[in-house]
Amino acid sequence: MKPLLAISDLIDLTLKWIAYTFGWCFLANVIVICFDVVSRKFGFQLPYGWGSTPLQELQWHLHAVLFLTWIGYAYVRNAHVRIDIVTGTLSDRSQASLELFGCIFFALPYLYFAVPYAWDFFTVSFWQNESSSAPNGLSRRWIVKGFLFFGFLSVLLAVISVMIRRFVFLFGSPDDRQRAMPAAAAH
Amino acid sequence: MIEWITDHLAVLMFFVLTFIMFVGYPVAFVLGAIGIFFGLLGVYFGVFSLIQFANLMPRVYGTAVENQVLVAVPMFVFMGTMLEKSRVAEDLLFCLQVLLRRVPGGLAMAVTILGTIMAATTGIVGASVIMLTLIALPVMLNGNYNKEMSVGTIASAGTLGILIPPSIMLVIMGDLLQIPVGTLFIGAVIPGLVMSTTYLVYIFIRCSLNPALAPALDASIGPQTTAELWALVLKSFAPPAFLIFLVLGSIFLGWATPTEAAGVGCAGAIILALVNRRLSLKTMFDVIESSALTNAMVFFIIFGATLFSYVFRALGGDDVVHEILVKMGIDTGVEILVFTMVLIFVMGFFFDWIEICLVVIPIFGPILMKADFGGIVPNGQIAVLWFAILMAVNMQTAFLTPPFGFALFYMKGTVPPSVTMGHIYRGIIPFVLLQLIALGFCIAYPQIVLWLPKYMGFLD
Repeated sequence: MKPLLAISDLIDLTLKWIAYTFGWCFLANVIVICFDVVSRKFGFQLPYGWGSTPLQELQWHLHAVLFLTWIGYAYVRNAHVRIDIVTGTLSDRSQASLELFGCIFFALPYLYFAVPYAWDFFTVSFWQNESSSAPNGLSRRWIVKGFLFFGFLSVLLAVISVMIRRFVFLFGSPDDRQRAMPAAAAH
Repeated sequence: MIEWITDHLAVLMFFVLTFIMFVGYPVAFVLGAIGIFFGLLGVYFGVFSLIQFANLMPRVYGTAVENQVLVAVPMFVFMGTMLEKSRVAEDLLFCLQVLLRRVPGGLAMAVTILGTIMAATTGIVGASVIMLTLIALPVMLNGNYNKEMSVGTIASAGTLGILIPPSIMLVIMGDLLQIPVGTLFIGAVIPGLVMSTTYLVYIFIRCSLNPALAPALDASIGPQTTAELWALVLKSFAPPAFLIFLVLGSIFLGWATPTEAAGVGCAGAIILALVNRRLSLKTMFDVIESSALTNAMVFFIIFGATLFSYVFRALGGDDVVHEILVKMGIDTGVEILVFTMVLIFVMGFFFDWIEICLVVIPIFGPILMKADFGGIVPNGQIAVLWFAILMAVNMQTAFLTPPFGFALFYMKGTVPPSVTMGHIYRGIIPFVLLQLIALGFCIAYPQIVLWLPKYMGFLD
C-alpha cells in the first residue's frame, strides 16, 4: 500500500505546485485589464502592435490558464460541488466506496473521451500553428489549447490520486488508512 | 417501447441526471458522464453518431475558454474574496453596527446591509452564507439577540448576493441567454433593493414591537465623539462602498464592460487591503487559493454542462420538451414560465444555482425565447430578461425554504451547537414569506424588472 500512497502524494504535490504557480495569473490579469482600460481611455498604445485586441485576447488566455491549471487540483482538494444531502450522513467507509464507484463509473468514462479529444484538438492546432482570427490578435493559439489538454490530464491524475486514497482507506492497514485520509481531510 | 425510448432519450437524460446527482459525486463529472453515456446510447439506437463526439471539444473550448465575458467571473470572485480576507467586511459590519445602535434591531439591519454591499463575494450561495454566519452570528449571539431572528437575518442576507449585482450568477446567465451582462445587472437592481428594503422594514417593525428580540448595543462600544464616529465611517464604510459603487456605476454608465469593471475592482480591493495594512503575502496566497478553487469549480461544471446540453440538443431534446409541454396543455408563454418557475423552485431545494442555471436554461431558454406572452411583456429578449430575474429571485427563495432549502444546511454546518435546526427553520419562515411576496410582485408587475433597464436606455 505504501508505494500506492507515494504515487498519490506525488500527484497531489505536482498538481499543487503547478496550480500555485499559475495562480498568479489572477494578478497578471488584473494588471492586463487595468492597463487595457487606462490605455484606451487615454488613447495610447504599446509599441509592436500591442493594442487593445491582443490585450483582450490575453485576458481570456490568462483566465483559461488559471482555471485549467486548477480544475485537477480542485478535485484533490475536494472543492468541486456535490449534492450530498442524501449521502452526506453515511459512514466514512460507505462514502469512500461511493467515491470509488463515482470515479470508475462517472469520472473515468468522461475522461476516456475527453482526454484523447483534447489531445487531438491541441495537436491539430499545433501543426497548423494556429493564430487568432483577428488581424492583430495573438499568435500561437495552440498554447491555450495545450493548457486545455493539460486541464483534462490533470483531472485524470487527480482522479487516480483520489482513487488510490479511497482504495487504501477501504482495504489498507489502519496505519495506511490514517495516511490515506487524515481525519480532517476526509470531507 | 424501443421506439418510445429512442424518441425520448433526451427527457430520460434529464431525469437520470437529476437522480444520479444525489449519489453525491461531484456534479461536474456526473454531467459529463451522463452526456457521454446518452451519446453512446444514441449511437446504439441510431440517433447519434460517434463522429459527433468530435464536436465536444470545440464546444467546450468555445463556451468556457475563448470567452471574454466569463473572464468577469474569476475577477468578481477575487474582488469579493479580497474584501473578505483582508477583513474589510468585518470592519464594515462593526461600523454599520455602531451607526445603527440606536435603531431597533440595528445589528440585524447592519447584517442585512452588509449582505447587500458584500453581494459581490457570492461565488456559491453556500460560501456566502458561511462567510456571513462566521462574521455576524458570534456578534449577534454575544449581543443576546434572539436566535431565530439572528439566523433568519443571516441566511436571508447571505442569499441576497446571487441577485444583487455584481453577481457572478448573472454573468453566467447573461452568457447562457445571450443578454448583455450589464442589462441583466441593471434589471436586478430594483428587485434586489426591494428585497433588502423589505427585510430591513420587517426587522425594524418586528424589533420595535418586541425589543427583547434585539437588545440595543452597549453605549460604551465604539467611538464616543462625533469626530471619531466620522473617522470610523470614512475609514471602514466609505472605501468598500465607494469601490462597489464605482464598479457598478462604470458598468451602468457604459464606461466599462463587466470584465473591465471587475478587473479594476480587483485592483481597488488590493489597494484597499494595502491601505488598511492587511495585505500580507499570506493574505494574497489565501485569496488566490480560495478564489482559484471556486473559479475552477465553476468552470469545470460549465465543461460538464456544455457536454450535457450538446448531447441533449443532438438527441432532439428541444423538440421533445416542447412536445411534452404541449401535450400537458402548457403552450402559452405565461404557462411555460410558471411551469419553469415551479421546476426551478423544486430544484432549488437540492441544487446550487450553478447546476440549475446550466441545466435548466439550455433546455427552457430557447423555448421561452420563442414563446408568446400575449402582450404581458414583449416577446423575445425582453421576456427573457424578465425570466432571468424571476429565476434569480425564485432560486433565492428556494434556497431558504424549509425543510430542504440548502442555504439552511450550510448554515447548520457553521453555527454553534446551541443553535438548532428548529431555530433556523422558525427564523427563516418570515423571510421566505417576504421573498414569496416579492416574487409575486415581480411576476404580476414586470415593470419592476424592466423599468430601470428601459429608463437607462439598455432596452429599446
